[in-house]
Amino acid sequence: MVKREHLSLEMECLTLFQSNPYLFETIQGLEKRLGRKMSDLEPILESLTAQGILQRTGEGAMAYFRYKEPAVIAEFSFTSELEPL
Amino acid sequence: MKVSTGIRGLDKVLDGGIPQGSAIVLEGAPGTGKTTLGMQFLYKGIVDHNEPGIFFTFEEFPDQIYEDMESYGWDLKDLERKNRLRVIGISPDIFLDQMTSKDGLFEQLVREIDCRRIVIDSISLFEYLPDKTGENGRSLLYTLRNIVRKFGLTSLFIQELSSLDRRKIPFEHFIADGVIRLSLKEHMNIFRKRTLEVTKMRGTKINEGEHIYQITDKGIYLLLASQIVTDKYISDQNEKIKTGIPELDNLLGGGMAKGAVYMLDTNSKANYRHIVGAIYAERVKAGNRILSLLSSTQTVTELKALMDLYGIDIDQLAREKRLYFIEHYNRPFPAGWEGSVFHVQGMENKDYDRFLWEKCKGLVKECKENHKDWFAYYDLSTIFNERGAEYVLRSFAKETAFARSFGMTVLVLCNFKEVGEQAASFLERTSNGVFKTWVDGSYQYLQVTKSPDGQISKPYLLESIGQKPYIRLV
Repeated sequence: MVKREHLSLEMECLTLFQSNPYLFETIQGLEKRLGRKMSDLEPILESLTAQGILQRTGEGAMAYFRYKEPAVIAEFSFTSELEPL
Repeated sequence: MKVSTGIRGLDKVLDGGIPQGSAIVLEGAPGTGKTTLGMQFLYKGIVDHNEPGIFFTFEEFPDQIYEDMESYGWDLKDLERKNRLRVIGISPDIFLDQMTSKDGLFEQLVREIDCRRIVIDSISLFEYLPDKTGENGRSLLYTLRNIVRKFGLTSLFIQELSSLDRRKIPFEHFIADGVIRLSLKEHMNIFRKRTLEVTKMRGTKINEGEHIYQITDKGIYLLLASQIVTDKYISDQNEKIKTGIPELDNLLGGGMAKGAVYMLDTNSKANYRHIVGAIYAERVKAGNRILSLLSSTQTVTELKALMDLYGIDIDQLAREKRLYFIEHYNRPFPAGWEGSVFHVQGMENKDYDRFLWEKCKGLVKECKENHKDWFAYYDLSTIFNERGAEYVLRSFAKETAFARSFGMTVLVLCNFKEVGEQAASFLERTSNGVFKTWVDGSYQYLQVTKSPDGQISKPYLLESIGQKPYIRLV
């Protein structure tokens, strides 16, 4: 798969999981939901898992993926980080 | 303890709601609103009863459900952010695997939001899983039911239903604690109506029959069968008087509405004696003044014998001027009743009208001023026979209007078949309530076909019993 196609499929996966934060799906399930080949999805899911965007649970055919909500910093005080003039 | 379904009408059908911890099959053809009903059960559970819930969807995308439910004003994402709801998109095989795994996803999700209710949409997909057909499928559903019970979850298992499936009872019905069926039916040839029927529910009484529902902009709204538009001005008075027949009082929401006119439509074979007897005796006991117009076949001796059965001494009542009779047949009355019997035999209709207006109405007005309530028992067949149909059609509405204006409760005996369709239709329209009793085969039935507060009933069997009121509705 060329890099551009890889990116486009990565975006598809990302959009699916972001829009459905409580989607728990196997690679076979994602093949049906996205209408994409398993062989094309495998490297994408591996990459998103490696980046900490998705979480993989279980092994083999029953391994499933879910979206990992990014940690949000609720409060951040810029002024405390700045050196006094 | 009952769990509200989030649909007021359905709660009434279920006598308050679904027994807590039950696993219910919700079945219906595509387009019947199963997903909406399931989500309404969760949404209202969270918002109105603080019971978090999980919706498992095997085929639909959760974001499609968020969007669809927005049209009812339900912000599901907001509930998810507040950890009160989860809309889980999952494959059925993963769901089943995780459900039985110790500390699996199912347990984690239930604990995470302190879940009390779940919906699974849909269990029909289990049968497409390898090795999950036949006995395995049954065992799988049995396991699922036991797991949700273990967690004390009140659950709806959605099941797709095609018309082909109706030939046999699915095994899911035997395993589940209850079955709710949604249907789409042809109505008046060109319309379609949606109906809901509870065909099974362990641990609660159900209001049987098919109830019409609509999918509105606020979700599912169910209108109970056996209910017609209310006579608001009468039902709002909210004063109910007992009939002496407890089951009939229940059907009438506590009893007959005070100041309403009820018709007892009886066919020639039906024995109405104890229906009238029980109501009559109950009114006497309540201290009502009674005005009676007996039929040609019912003598005062017979009425006396009937009232004796209910422990009422009408002889004494007549002497005390608490009981009055209008007599068309010049029959003998016991001594001492003179002031209680109005003899109207041979009276022209015009004179009879004047008599009613001057004598009876004067008497009622006088007692009303002394705060005495009246009850009238009126055999309308006698008026048909003695004064003609034309007289009845002309005067009945006037008389009932008078009775209502003085808060007089009236029980009118009539045989609709005998008086003809047109007169029956007029009488039914003029009365506030109609009880119908008839004999079919070896059984007698009673049905409330009209009442001021809109309640109508299914036909009940009338059973003779050895003690007062001598009849029971079964």
